[in-house]
Amino acid sequence: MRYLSIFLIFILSVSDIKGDILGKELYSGVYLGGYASFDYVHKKDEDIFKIDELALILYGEFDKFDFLSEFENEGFYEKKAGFQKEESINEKIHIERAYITCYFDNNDILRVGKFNSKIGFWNQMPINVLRPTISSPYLVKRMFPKFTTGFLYSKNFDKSIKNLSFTFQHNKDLDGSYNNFNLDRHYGISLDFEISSIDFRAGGGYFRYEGFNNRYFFASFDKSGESFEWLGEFAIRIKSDDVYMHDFYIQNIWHIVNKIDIVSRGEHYEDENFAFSEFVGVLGLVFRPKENIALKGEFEAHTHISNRFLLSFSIMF
Amino acid sequence: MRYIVLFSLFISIIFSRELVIVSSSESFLSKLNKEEVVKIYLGKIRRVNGHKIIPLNLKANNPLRREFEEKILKKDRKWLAMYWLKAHYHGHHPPKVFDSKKAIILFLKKFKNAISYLDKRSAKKEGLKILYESGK
Repeated sequence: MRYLSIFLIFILSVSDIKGDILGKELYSGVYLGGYASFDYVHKKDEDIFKIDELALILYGEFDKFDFLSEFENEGFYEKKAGFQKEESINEKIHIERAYITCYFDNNDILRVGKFNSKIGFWNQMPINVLRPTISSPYLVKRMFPKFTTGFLYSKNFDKSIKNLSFTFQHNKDLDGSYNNFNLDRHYGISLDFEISSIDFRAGGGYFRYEGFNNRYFFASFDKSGESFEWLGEFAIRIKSDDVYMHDFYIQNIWHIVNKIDIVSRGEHYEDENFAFSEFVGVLGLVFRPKENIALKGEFEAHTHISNRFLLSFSIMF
Repeated sequence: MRYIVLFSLFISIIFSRELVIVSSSESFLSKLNKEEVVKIYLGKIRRVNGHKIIPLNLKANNPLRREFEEKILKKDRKWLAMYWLKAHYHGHHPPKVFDSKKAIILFLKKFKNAISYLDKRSAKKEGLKILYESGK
């Protein structure tokens, strides 16, 4: 409990945001920030209250290199009511990200360490306060590794092809328990391009998880306008035993009035054991009194598993 | 009604200021184009001619900053706030913020690799190098 007290005192001390500046400058070019989220989930036979994400981010921007480290506690406190009554505290702190980025010039970078895998758009913005919904599409956790511990080489272009990135991991994960797949190999390629003001990202890769070889392919698009945003992602995963999985979703955000968005998402996936083919529909409302604070509510409807109603408060500082 | 419109036009011409991007007169920079200015202010370009650039900002409620965001960046406040929120997660910080034009001018004169937006009149008066003019 003492960690939570320290964290809350820290949030209060740095959340006095001046203008639009987030984070506290510790030294010249070195900043400390973080984020937190508090969730409530209601299912048919169960209510869950969670202090879900508590994280600190320390980063620095220098002449030819940057560094970033992020330490997170997930599921610090959870209280279940209903069919099963439980209360739990998890004080374990994980390394979510830790990397150094070298800038050879404006267009060539090399990143070394543990970072968000450059796969699709959603995986680059995976935390509650940045996401348009409390829940994430199932695609993000089932089809490819969320984090990679290795190298990322990225090159920007000024034409319709905007970026080409290569991912290389040939070692164990840094804090492997804190990844959706505990990897020891990951090689990937990702291409960003633009057609008719629509951003696309496509690519594929290979990863090894618990001795099994996996290949994945993905394609994503993002189209933003003044009052809307469309986002869609499609992924295929082929396991070494020729088990084939696919998943896709399409999401729409309407900025209906200042500070309020309505989000709808439809997703289809097949269960890993092919027991069922699932369709998920999400309808949510987001209120951002300030950009770094989000109050969200959403209803998630499933064809096979239980429907859920979710509420959350999330903040970045 | 016609007179009100004409009067408003007259007032806007009298008080309009030309927005320019400036640096110290001793800066290694000679010219910037609009695309470079936008990329520098969004943190997408860190270096020009091999030198690190430091973009400077006025406070969020400053009218000159609003004009810069509207005319040159062509982004609204909400978009920029969300952009820097996401950038913060990825370890990038928005440009340094100064309380006044005077503070910006002092910084520019001290650091040759700093750039800022100013009104043309102040830039000329202070002997700063004009790198980009919004009207041209």
